[in-house]
Amino acid sequence: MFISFFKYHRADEEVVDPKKYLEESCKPKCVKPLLEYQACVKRIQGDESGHKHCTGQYFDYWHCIDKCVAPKLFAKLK
Amino acid sequence: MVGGGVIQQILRRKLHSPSLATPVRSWLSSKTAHVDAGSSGVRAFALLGAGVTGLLSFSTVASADEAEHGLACPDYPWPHDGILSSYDHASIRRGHQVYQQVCASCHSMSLISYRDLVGVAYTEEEAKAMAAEIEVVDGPNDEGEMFTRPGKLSDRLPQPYANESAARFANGGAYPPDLSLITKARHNGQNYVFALLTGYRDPPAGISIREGLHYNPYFPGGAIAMPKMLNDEAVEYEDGVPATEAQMGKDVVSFLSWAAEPEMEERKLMGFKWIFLLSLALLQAAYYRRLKWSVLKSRKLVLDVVN
Repeated sequence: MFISFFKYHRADEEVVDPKKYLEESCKPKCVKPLLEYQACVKRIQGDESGHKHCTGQYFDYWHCIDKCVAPKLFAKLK
Repeated sequence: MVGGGVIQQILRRKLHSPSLATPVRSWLSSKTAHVDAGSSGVRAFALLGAGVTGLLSFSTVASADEAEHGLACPDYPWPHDGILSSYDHASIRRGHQVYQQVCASCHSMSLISYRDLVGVAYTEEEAKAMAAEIEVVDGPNDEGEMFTRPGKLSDRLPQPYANESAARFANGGAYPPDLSLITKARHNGQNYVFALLTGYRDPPAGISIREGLHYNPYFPGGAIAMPKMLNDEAVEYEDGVPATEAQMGKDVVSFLSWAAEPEMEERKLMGFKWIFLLSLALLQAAYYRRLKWSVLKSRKLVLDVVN
């Protein structure tokens, strides 16, 4: 129990934010929306008008990540 | 909106059918059909216009909606969520520390007094010592003057700004809201505040935020005046818990949840007790009703026919 308490913080080690860690590990689950977002970024790359944006795809991706992270996050926190 | 367009077309056909022999068309092509002559002409034009604008507005509303409402926040499994679950008081204590060191420079919590913390997050001595650290304006004294004195348990938590105007002036026109009730004052407040505090990210491609604002997908509109405040190890917890961004977010939201709903634990206990007792009372009442009505419900009627 003592060891797990210090899992994310040994004296000379950097603390790892569990949320960032889980968001990274959930990336493989959300490849499809990520690819959609990247496709959108490519599509609007040359846009001069300033009206084009990828908010929709961005939201879809992060919604997927959030759904994956949320049930697991608090188990890693005190 | 699309359904509205369809309804307009159905109405239009119904209005025209008595006066004209309308040939059968698809609803798409009838959208661009010519206006009919006569008294029904104006009506038809109005319906056509309404149908077209309905269809057009649907497409524009869908794209503006997302950033406007903000990204929907997920539901986190808060330890105090259950029907008989209490607050994590160690978390409330840490959360108050985060509030004091990170948030209190801009956000007031003017409905909470130091005495409210006693027995929840701090002992009476600790709370008294914390209160004594602040200066409070009191008075008037016997000479009619206002004076300052160290804080007492009965004093409210200190306000960073004298009034809203001062707060806005110091924050580029934006008012850092009072946090006493924030988890009740926002839809899905606990999850929203946690997602907001830990959700600062780079904006999507094509979105640029003006100088002075920051991108946060959970904030309605996406551009929030508050910068990212929770950074790893911004605070050193007294109990040695590693102060990661997520940990501080969880603790501060626990603290804010308590601040908005200090009665929660008592409410749940009371609710459980009374729902249980009233269920027993319901069973008793049902039995008693059926007992009393059994006399009438079991009577027999005889039909005596006279020829």
